[in-house]
Amino acid sequence: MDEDVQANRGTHADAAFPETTPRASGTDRAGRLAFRLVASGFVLLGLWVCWYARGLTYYTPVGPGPGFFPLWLGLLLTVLSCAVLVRSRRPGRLALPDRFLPERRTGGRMAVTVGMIAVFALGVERAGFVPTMFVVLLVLLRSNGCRLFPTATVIALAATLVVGYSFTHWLNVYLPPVPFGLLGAVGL
Amino acid sequence: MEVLHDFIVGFGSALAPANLLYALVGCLVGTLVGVLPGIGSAGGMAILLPLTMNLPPAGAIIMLAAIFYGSYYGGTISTVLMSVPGEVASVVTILDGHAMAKQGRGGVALSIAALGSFVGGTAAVLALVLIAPLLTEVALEFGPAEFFALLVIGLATLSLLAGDSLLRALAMAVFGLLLGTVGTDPTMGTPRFDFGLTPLLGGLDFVPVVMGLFGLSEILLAEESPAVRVEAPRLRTLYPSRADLKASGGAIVRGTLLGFLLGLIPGTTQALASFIAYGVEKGCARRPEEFGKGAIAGVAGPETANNAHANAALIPLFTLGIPGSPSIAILLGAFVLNGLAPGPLLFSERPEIVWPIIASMIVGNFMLLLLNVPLVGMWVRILQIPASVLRPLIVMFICLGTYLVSNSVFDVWVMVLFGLLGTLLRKLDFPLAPIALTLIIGPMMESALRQALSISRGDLGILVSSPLACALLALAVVVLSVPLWPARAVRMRGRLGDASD
Repeated sequence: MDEDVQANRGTHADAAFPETTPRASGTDRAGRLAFRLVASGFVLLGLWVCWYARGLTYYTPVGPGPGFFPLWLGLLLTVLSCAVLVRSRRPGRLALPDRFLPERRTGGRMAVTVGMIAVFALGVERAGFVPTMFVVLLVLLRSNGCRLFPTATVIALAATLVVGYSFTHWLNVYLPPVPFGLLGAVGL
Repeated sequence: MEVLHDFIVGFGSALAPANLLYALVGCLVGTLVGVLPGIGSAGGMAILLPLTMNLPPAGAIIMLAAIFYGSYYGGTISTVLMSVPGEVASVVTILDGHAMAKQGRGGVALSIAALGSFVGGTAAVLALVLIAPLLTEVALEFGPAEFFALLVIGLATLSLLAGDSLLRALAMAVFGLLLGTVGTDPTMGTPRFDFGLTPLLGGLDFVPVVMGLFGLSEILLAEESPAVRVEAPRLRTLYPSRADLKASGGAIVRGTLLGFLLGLIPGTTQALASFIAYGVEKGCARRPEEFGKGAIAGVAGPETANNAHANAALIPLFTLGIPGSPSIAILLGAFVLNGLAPGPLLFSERPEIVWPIIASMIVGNFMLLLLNVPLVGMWVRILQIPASVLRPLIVMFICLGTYLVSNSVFDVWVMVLFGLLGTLLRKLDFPLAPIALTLIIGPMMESALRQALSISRGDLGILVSSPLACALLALAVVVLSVPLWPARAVRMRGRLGDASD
């Protein structure tokens, strides 16, 4: 818990005693619903694993087959997730954050971050590392509040070129090159 | 004597220029990770894990271990100077450390914290040197049944990592075990849960999964945290006087003992060690009323205890292969990725790798002691870089690191999937550490069980046929029963944080 808790519950010194401060009692409805949906999802996953494992060999003359572990694990996951689901219905059992759904702007930034990683995945092998990462960084810098376009452009370009060059030439790591050797002059 | 010889040879290897460089880079990156609020050591290690893939095994582990313990030094810097705890383990240091900084004695507080951390960390590493070989002799008696029993202890420690809900932790552990079954079955070669996707035939890679669960989710959740505005502190002097050293000597000794003993118990946290150390120091103090107003023992005790804990927590990993926290689970993953299996056999099978790693921890702690205080100004300036610039750069390293594992875009998609899942699960208070832990030990456990049962032709009695296996299983039962021990102790653990994430 200690490594990650800041990210979960704020980083200010005031919020630095996360476990000593009782968590909000006013859990919102979306949080409770999400909790039950997730727990139900794990129940369904457990059941699906059991069903899938039935198609694998359960036991062989020399011991357990490939279906042995998944079957038991699927059953265990189903039982445990059911228990989590049942316990969550008891009052006072859930300690969820005050607000489960992020605010619109925060949610937007989260979506942009995930979207830009998707852009990286789609573009890196087609357009090469440098142009793809430049676009990703530029958009992320702008969406995170780097207001001046020239500043964001310079940071994105410098970071991309420095990382691309140092990984390719100093760490000897392969990064997808720019098509048609467009950046061949700078070794990228 | 042989141990001493191996250790000295390892020290020689740790002092080789390449290994010194890996330790130095790890220490600097670890300090950076600790200084920056919102990036915990687990997240930082997960992000940087792929960058160590091209290094030799010893170099990779040396660097990651240095990131791990370096982060606790870094956490102290932002805590003392700016009242912004980089790590929860340093939270209690705010009380006196920041009070000292306000009096212009921040440099002294940092020096004493670094000195205490060095003493605590080094003492824990030396204890590892003494304990580990004893287990090496036992290791020769390990067969599949004993190995399986050992892994059961690893699973049982989840009861200590569980935090508020044992049920949720167990469900996540089973989920992690299931993720470990994805790919080709190790005995018969049957594909399982591959959905017809060729990259899944080799199983789910550890790096994209932990990168998503710990790295990406941390970045996404950090979007919800308010940005911290940092102002440069004033430092009158960096180094402690003789009176300061005298006042903190006892606290350092007590912190070392306390942190070391707590570190041996998987599931206890650095935060717990530092909070208890603070309480002990206040209890031992002649003028307890000075605590909270800049008492140097209030910095020395907790900081020593948290670093002694961090280093002592490596003992269960090295000797038994049991990770006690997410960061150490990631270190375990690094061992596995480099073809090393932590546990009793490690010392007899790969002494040329394990001893340099252990020796490098002393070297790394020494580097941190020497470097951190003079470099305070640099860390403060880094902390002043706006989040709007830092976050995109971290995302770049997450993308790059994941892609570089096997130059596969598929891994990036896996990372995104687990990043979203991790964000959701963390918001809903499901612990993630059990997933990381069981993803690693799951396949090993399955192989050990199936090997044991193959030897006995399916007779389950083999699992309890040797006294060693029985003793290990009994120990697992004891560990499992810990949450049922007196409610007061459990409540205390709950208040001071758990090791779940």
